[in-house]
Amino acid sequence: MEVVNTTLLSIALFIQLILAPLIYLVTSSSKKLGDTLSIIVSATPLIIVAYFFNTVYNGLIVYEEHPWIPVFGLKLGFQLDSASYPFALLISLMGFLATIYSTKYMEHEHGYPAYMALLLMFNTGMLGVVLATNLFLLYIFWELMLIPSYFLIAYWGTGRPRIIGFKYFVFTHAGALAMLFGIIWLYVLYGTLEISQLSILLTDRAENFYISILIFIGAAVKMAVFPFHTWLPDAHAEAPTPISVLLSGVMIKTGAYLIIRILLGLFSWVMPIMNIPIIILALISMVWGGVMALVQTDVKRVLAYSSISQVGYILFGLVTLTPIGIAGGVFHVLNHGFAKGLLFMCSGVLIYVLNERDLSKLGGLASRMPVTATAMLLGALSIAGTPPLGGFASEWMIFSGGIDAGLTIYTAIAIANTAITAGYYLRMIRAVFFLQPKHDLSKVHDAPLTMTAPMSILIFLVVILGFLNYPVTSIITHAVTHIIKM
Amino acid sequence: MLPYSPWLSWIIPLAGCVFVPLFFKLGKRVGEAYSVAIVFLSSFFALSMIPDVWGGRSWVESIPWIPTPKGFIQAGVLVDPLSVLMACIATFIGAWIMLYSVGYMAHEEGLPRYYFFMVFFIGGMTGLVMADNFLQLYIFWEIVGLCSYALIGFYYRKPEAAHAGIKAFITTRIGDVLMLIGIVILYSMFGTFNYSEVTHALSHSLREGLVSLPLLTLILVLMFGGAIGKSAQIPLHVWLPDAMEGPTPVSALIHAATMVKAGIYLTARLILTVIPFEEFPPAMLHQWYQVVAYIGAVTAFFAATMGLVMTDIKRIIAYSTISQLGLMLASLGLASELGWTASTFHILNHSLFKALLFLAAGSVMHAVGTTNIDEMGGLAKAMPITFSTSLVGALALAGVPPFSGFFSKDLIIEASLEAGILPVYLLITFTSILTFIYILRWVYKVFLAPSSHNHSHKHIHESPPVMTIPLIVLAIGAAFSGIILEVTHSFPEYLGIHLHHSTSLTTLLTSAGIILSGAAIVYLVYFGRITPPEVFRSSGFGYMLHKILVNRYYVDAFYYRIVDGFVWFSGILRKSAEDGGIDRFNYLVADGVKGAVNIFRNIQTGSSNINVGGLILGVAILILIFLTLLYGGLS
Repeated sequence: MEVVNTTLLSIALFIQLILAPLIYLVTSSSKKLGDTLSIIVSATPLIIVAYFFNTVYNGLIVYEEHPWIPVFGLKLGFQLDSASYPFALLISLMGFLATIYSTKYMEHEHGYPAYMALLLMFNTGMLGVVLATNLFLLYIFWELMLIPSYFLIAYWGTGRPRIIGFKYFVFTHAGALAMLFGIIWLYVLYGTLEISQLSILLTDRAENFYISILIFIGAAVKMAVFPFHTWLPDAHAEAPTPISVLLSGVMIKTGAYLIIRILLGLFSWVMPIMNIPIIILALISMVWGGVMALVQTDVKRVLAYSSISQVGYILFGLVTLTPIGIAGGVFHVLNHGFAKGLLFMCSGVLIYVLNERDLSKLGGLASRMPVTATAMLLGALSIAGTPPLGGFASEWMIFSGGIDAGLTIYTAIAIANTAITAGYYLRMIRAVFFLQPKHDLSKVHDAPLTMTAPMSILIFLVVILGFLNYPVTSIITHAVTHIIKM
Repeated sequence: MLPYSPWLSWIIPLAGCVFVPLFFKLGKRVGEAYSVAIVFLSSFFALSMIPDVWGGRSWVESIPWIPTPKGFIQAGVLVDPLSVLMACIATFIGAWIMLYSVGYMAHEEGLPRYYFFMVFFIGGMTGLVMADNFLQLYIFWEIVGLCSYALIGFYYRKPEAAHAGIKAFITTRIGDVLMLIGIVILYSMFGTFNYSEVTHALSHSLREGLVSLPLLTLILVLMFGGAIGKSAQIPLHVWLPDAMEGPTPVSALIHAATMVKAGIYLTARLILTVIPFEEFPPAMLHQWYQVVAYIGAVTAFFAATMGLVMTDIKRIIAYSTISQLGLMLASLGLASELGWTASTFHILNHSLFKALLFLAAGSVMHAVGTTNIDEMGGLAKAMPITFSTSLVGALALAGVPPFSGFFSKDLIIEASLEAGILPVYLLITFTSILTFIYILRWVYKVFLAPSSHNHSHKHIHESPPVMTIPLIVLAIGAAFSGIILEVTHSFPEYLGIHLHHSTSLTTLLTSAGIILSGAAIVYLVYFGRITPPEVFRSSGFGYMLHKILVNRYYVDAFYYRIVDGFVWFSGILRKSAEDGGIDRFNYLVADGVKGAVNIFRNIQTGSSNINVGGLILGVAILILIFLTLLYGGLS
């Protein structure tokens, strides 16, 4: 494949990390100036990623390389190809929108400048994971994504943030260590960590099986696959809302990226041995998440459990090991990211305007909050796989992959589970927006533009990706046929 | 045909609905005018296609749509008499119902939302019937379901309405799940969603033995599951009566004339295009046709019995809708050209007279402000137009000649005799007698019975012209559509089907028997009051029967038990397994680690002697390892 060399990728990646201290200082003295700067800085990766759209669309690879640690043969390499593009787009867009949203939502919080700086570092970590060309670099960014998010949860969270933050850290760090062990083992066996070289060097050895299990554990913990999921409802529900948007909408998808890039990309011949147990885990995750979401009383916890369930769908699509199933899984990463981000933003509006997130204490808000009501309905129905919204466009591909792989019964369960999804979301919407109001609503109004503008962009994406998804699905199809070589 | 009609007839309302809220910003009248106009415009495009498909002509237009690793999926339209008929029903009847809404909904809050979803629905319904592949069909299938959900819950502050919306969505979703499984299996086997490509691939692989008959039957049954949900057939019929919580024009448009026909349309489409009689002889798919016929006939009968005892003006007609949809399905399940034609003919007639009955019911409710028919009565004088149009609708539904329902029902009976399935014939006949009784009971109680004491009829007056004109238009349609199409033989001609039948004597006798027995019972029980219903209810058996019927055979109660049980069980799981099991286990591990670490804490004495001693020991071990590796590696 042809390669386009550039230096823009490292700008996209490091600008947020490097300018974070500056933003901390500027925001400390002037919030307005600091916010403007933060928004511009967080927009930069988005612009750069969008700029390369055509290049990736035409099947080229955007590549950048610098010498780094020559002793170990390590290079500082970044690349954007059709497999990483959907993820990079999701991360940079959601990072940008969450930053805008934060400027209003978090304005009265203590330590606001530090929050902003950490948010930008968190964005860098996520983007780095999907741009890195070698596994060592990938691991570094994997940790860079964990540390700021730990502080964001532990210091700005609600409920018992310290314990929850700690739990989050321990869980994902344990997963990361399993992954690190796998990576080191790979280096010991093959003497390189460059993904492109590994794909040539990898031979048929029994160790590969154990390595892929270790790496799967790292990915599974990040994706909160049953039974490694209990950190997620706590962390996603109690994190400050813009961080929930990023955790649920974006961060857990890095696990899916790991599966695509390493397990499917490198160990494609190990996967057929593992796929039935993983499929069963994915099914348990989707049903368990759905059933748990049905009995939650807190808006954000419903959304968090829904993420566990939806990640089950993504995982299901990926490990069907059929082209259309994998394409559906990757596409669902985007659709779920946008829709779940949107839903968390809606829950943020409820918290911002009413300071309430308990389902039994909300009600009758539809006419007072038309934008939020529309957004929540669309996001929920999209995730429940209702056409013409985005979620359906990816879910039928996942199901189709399941049937192609001969997993008819499993697929039937996955499809039937969409009824549970619709059930808990409609129950939530009824409790929040329908029925008689339980507050005095005369002074209640929709959120300010700073919060509804990012939501509107996501509404647009949730709707448009359902039927006019040609550009995105072409890139995904390219990735499936050329990178994963299905 | 107007240019691009097959596309524009549904794209116009689908794209147009987006601007409804904007036009409402300019003013309420502007918004209403825009919404009505856009549906009328779409109906012109739909109606203009009739001459082009006359005589059974059909064609397909398609464009590339979604790239997948399996190749492009095409989006397309299938223009044939069936799709054009359904499109005309959706847009043309839809347009008159929109006009009626202007009067009926005049004083409601949230009109932009109402008109947005109505126009969106009409676009979705037209798109559904014009689609030439299952994926597109399914997308529109869910769009109309979404509109139905939003419009049933229009009065969202009312708990019943909020509840009914969810009930409708989830119940139909259960059917949709089955249908989606069927569609995905087909796609997986043949790599296409397109109807005619599926047909070719199916007949080819059947010949080659790649697909077995039981598998094909299973796929068709799964597809039919979607129809059961959408068309409210047993066992998924429970949502439709509750859907009456929505505004009346919604009931008329979505829950009588169009959306609930989507299931009938799907079944008719499967029989016409996907498993045509020529390539898949009915004898081959005998079991599937049996399922269709029996589910339809049984639903028709049981829904009619429940319609006998309801007291809500709209619920009676809702049960009637379920029952009539059952008749249409039963007729399709007869697996004959005659049955298929009869069913399609009944789709047309039923859409006219049932929309009419709902709009008339709306007109009554608008005037008296109640939905209980026991509190009505004697409205015939105060509301002459509503009364006379209702009477036309009721007689058409009851199957009294020369009104439209008679002719299609006659054909259905004829077809059931021709097919020779006695139970289906009997169920259809009994259903028709019950239909006659419940709908004349409805007319009697609402318009003719001595007026109840609750209110004086002085304040009650006829609805405004914007509501009565659609009533009159639909009444003309319901009165004459049957006889004109029957006498000129133009309906089969339009479909391009050559029926060589003459009405048999048995059919004539059956029809006469239905009308006579129905009329006798209605006279005895209601008009003559010789054995009024109270007398019947006072006996032990009558009391029991009435109780069972009023409680809808306890099916709803049974379903609620299941759902509540599931939620209760989920709650238990959450407490015991999620919080008490998995999460607790995590904390146990954490505490265990903490305890283990505490043991090692004793080593951290703070004494420098011990620390330095430890350091030296560590370095010594490292050197040892290093040396071992070095020499081990060399040798």
